[in-house]
Amino acid sequence: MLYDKWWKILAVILFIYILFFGILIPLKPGILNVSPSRFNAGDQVSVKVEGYNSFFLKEAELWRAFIKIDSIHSLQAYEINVISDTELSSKFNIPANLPSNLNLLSASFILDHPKSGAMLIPSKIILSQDSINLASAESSWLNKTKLKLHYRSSFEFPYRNILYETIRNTFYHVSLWFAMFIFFGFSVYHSIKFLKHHKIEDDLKSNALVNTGILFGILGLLTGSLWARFTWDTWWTKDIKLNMSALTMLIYIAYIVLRASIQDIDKKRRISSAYNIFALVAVIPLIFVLPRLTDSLHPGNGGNPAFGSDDMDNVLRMVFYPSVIAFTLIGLWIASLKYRLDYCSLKIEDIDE
Amino acid sequence: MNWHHQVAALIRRDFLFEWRNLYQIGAILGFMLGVSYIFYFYSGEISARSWSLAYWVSLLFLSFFSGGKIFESDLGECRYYSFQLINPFIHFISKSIFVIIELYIYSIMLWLVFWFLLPFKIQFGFQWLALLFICISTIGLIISFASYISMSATGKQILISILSLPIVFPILGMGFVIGMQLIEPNINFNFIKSIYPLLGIQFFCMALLIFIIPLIWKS
Repeated sequence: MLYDKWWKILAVILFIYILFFGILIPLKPGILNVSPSRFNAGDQVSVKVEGYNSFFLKEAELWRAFIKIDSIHSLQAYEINVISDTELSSKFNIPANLPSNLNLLSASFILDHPKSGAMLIPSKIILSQDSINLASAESSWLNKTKLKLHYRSSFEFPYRNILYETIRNTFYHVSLWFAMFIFFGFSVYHSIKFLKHHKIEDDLKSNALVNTGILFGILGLLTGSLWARFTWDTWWTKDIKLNMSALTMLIYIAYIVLRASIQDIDKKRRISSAYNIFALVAVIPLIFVLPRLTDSLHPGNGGNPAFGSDDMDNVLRMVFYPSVIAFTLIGLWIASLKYRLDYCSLKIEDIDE
Repeated sequence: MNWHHQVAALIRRDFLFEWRNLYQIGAILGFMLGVSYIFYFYSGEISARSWSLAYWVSLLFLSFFSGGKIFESDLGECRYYSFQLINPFIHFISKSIFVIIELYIYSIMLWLVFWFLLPFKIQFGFQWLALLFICISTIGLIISFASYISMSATGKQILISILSLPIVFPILGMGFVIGMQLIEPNINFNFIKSIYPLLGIQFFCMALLIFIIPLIWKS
């Protein structure tokens, strides 16, 4: 009995694991905000830093702060005052000239600590200058030794600006889409088998898998929309991947409509199986090709990396990959229940006839 | 009779039937004039974006009107000939080619009607015709497939729209974007490079249909 059910038990264990660790593992410390963020060259400024999950009071004297323009130009704060665990102020003497031909320049703000590691808020600082003098700027901004920052090695999720705590949605939103494609792939396998051997069981399996895939796709859209509301400040955007995903759902909803509108059972099975193959192949350019040809907010599209070190670290992977397996197994369980229900209905109809 | 002779004969037959039903061509022409007149009357100063959008949306409806019923028309008087005597694959190929040619003619007619009522200079006429052909041939294939599989279903017209619209949508979108570039070209615009994805989708559809269609009737 256990032999048949091991994968269901595994699905439940993995699901509990992703719920538990996905929610309880904290984020690494990060910078929530710096203010003010706009300075003129030659100013003496005090920058107030707001931290997230930070412990500024621990070994407060070891904190260092930098304004970083590029890999070789940066400026270190000459004084740091820690106010609380989440607040500190840093003082900078901005040199009279900037190392650029431009009058306006964006720079990143970095905090570094031997134990807490480096925290960065990219392109937050805006620097301006009235006159350009590259020679003078080079001497005051140039780092003769490479900026040495500390890395915090801990069992924590990465802190990403804009995403914050919603980075945990990766385990649900992305995994749901992964699982959906696995179901659609399996359903095509069963459709091809049905078209070759005409076994009703294959058609029922294919139908159950498509229905489960649609359910997961809709959940993926909903979790994506919720994520977009938090990170992009809107429930829906014109982002190509988002809209192509919605089209994917429409293509598969058309499969359900097609099945419902053909009365002849044999024709229904044959035609819907053929459409199922067509649907999956039509979806591939929509989801995997077109978004790569144009700008997209999604990682992995429009030149953004996917699953690179910027988006995912090893701690995230420890929860993400099990979540893909968990959702796939749970979906297969749902599909197997749907298949058995349809099969029983079919047998009852046969007995009635 | 070779297969290509059969295909040519079937296309000829379809054009003959179309020609005999002149009221259908009249209705399509009426639709084109009506739609472009509405745009002419209500749009005022029209931008390249609005022109391109109006054109492609009109073309979408035109495709559904003219391509949606191609197999249904054979269910009447030619049923025995079309569904018993000839190879279904040849039947499908001939219908697809017919739809593509018919839609291409209609798309050029629509362009002329738009040019008459909503004059907008397209900088690269030849590229525009090539773009139309690539988009129309993909749309024609998809509509033929949707029409073929919904032949035996109830509520055919709605089903054809439901089946083909989500797949046609990105093709129209790409046609719209590239079309806009042909009206108001960008310095970095490269026509050949921009039509690669469209060509890819087109060959993809063709290959897929060659594989799928025999699976539907082979039983």
